[in-house]
Amino acid sequence: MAESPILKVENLTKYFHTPRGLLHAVDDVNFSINKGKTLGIVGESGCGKSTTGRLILKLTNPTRGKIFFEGNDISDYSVSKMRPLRSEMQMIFQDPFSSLDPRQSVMQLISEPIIEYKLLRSKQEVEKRTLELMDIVGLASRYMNTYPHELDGGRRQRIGVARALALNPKLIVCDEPVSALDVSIQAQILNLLKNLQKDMFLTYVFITHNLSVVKYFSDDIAVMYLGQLVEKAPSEIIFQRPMHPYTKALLAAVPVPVVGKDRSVRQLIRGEITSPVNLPDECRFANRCDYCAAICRERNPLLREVEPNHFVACARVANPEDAYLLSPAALKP
Amino acid sequence: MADEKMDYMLEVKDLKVQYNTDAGIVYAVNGLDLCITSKKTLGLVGETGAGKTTTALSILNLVPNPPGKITSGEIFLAGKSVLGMNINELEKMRGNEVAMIFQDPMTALNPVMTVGDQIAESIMLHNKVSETESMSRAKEMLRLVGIDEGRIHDYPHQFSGGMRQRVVIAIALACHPKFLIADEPTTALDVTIQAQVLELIKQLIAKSDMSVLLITHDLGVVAEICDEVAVMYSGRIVEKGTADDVFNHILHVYTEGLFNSLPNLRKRGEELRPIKGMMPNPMEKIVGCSFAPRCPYATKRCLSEIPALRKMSDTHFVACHAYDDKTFTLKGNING
Repeated sequence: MAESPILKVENLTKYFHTPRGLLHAVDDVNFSINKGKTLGIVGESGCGKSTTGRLILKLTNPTRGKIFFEGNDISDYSVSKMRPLRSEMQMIFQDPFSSLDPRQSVMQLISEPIIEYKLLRSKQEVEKRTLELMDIVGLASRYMNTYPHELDGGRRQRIGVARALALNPKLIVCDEPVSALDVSIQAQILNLLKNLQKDMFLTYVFITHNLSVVKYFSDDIAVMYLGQLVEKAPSEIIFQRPMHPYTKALLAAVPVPVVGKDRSVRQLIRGEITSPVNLPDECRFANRCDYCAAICRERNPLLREVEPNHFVACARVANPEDAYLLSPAALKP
Repeated sequence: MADEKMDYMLEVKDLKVQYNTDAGIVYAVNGLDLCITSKKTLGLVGETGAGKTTTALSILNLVPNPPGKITSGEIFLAGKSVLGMNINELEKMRGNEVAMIFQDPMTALNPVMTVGDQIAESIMLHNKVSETESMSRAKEMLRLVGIDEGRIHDYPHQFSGGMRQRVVIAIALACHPKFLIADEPTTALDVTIQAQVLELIKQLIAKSDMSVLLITHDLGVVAEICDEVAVMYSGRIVEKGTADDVFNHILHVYTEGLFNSLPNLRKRGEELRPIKGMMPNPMEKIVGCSFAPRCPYATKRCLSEIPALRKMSDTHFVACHAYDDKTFTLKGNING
């Protein structure tokens, strides 16, 4: 039977006041993740995926909505009340170049959280644990006294992973953890994260713009556009039968490393993401959508369950059969 | 055609570039041979530190000196030796016959000049035309890259990333170059915008007679627009051929490893298979094949003798000693 999710957000909303008006960074987002699973949040720059990650960890406070961690509503926890929880919820940042203090050695960087949270007291124990963490993330112990600038991107990101693991967290928010890395290094870090998940039963929120990476990694995928979820489903389903026009366009836009007869023809979407400031009450993708109809301009469509576990926020998709309407063939008169 | 064989837009022979730093010498490019036939688009693929950008800068003789130094080699652009040109000749060539698109449109544009002035600047510099004439040609360029010409007096910060990259492309193409170098032109862009800009570049290439050197780490981008592909590893070309050669008939074990480490959209693999080991330290002078320490087929000879690019078919070249054995084929076990 359904176990209770480790993380659940309800109507999560974050607005920022800007000189030009209210910026809808995250708007009414709902999802939950079970223990040991990975939720991939995909979207392009400015869609609110990183803000969502920061909200989950309460690095910024929501304007509205609730965050439940292991059943407890933490949305209005104070900083001091959050502190013990911090060791259970950690983050891996995108850029291993700017997220590490350049003046700390690898040893200092990895042991910092252990000392800060007084997990271990004696110097020997801290050192032993640090070396153990270095071993877990695949950093040779000879790097103990080196500094981040002496290491390449992949090794630096391993430090970031070790720091996140130092406090034995249950949930890790990975915000574009491999975007700054070369493909061959990317593969190493992704494999590392996957193996750690198996060994330590970690739960991941995996934020990325790279669809091939989430496919490889996630159990469930949520696609975001202008602060909202437009589609959510198990990973295979999203890739097998995407239904929202934006998801389809996003999948089609990825350049495929295939030459010759196996190449499929690509479908482009026009225009660019509109400003998230002072949004009108209509479908946020309407301006770029080839399938936009009158109903799309009437109100902002809500996420609805189109088939079991498959949620789509499109006025024109009420059941799986409708999705065929949104194909290039349907456009021709 | 025998005639076309000689018709090289770019010819690089045994190029070596090093950077003399406080910590020691960095060997960035180590004997690179590369040619691009007229009107062709060649994709230069490799990971960070392979020497792709240094190669591009060398072609325009723009390697910052010091610390950089071209220590040997020859570069011919449309038959003229670039390294032998004086500063006047170079300036006449840059931005005119040869143009470059840089990776980051935020830093490639001047923030205090309108985009119109920036496009018109290169037109005026290289052609004897009036300001009005150059402005009207700037408008034409904006239209060409899909920007409303009414925005000619806007500043770069008023444009989105994708639009800025279109402006950079407009500047590059303003003087109708014969040769275009595009260094990671879409890497900084979102995927739907990247698709649009790639489509634009593809159309512009098709419309013109340009030869193009496209530098990228993304094999998907290469598949999208390139006729030919050269794979670079620690400062040398390890494999070169038509897109079909390199994508469908891989010869070099590094190329194979590169393809296998890609998370694939079509197949959901159980575990990714990265190439074992790391790129060699560029501060160490390489003797032998630079990939040998990571190569499952390496023999003693690979550690001492640099493999030359050998011809495997009319179009397909590989730098690997293993092909001395006529029956050698890759066994697909490079990735761990």
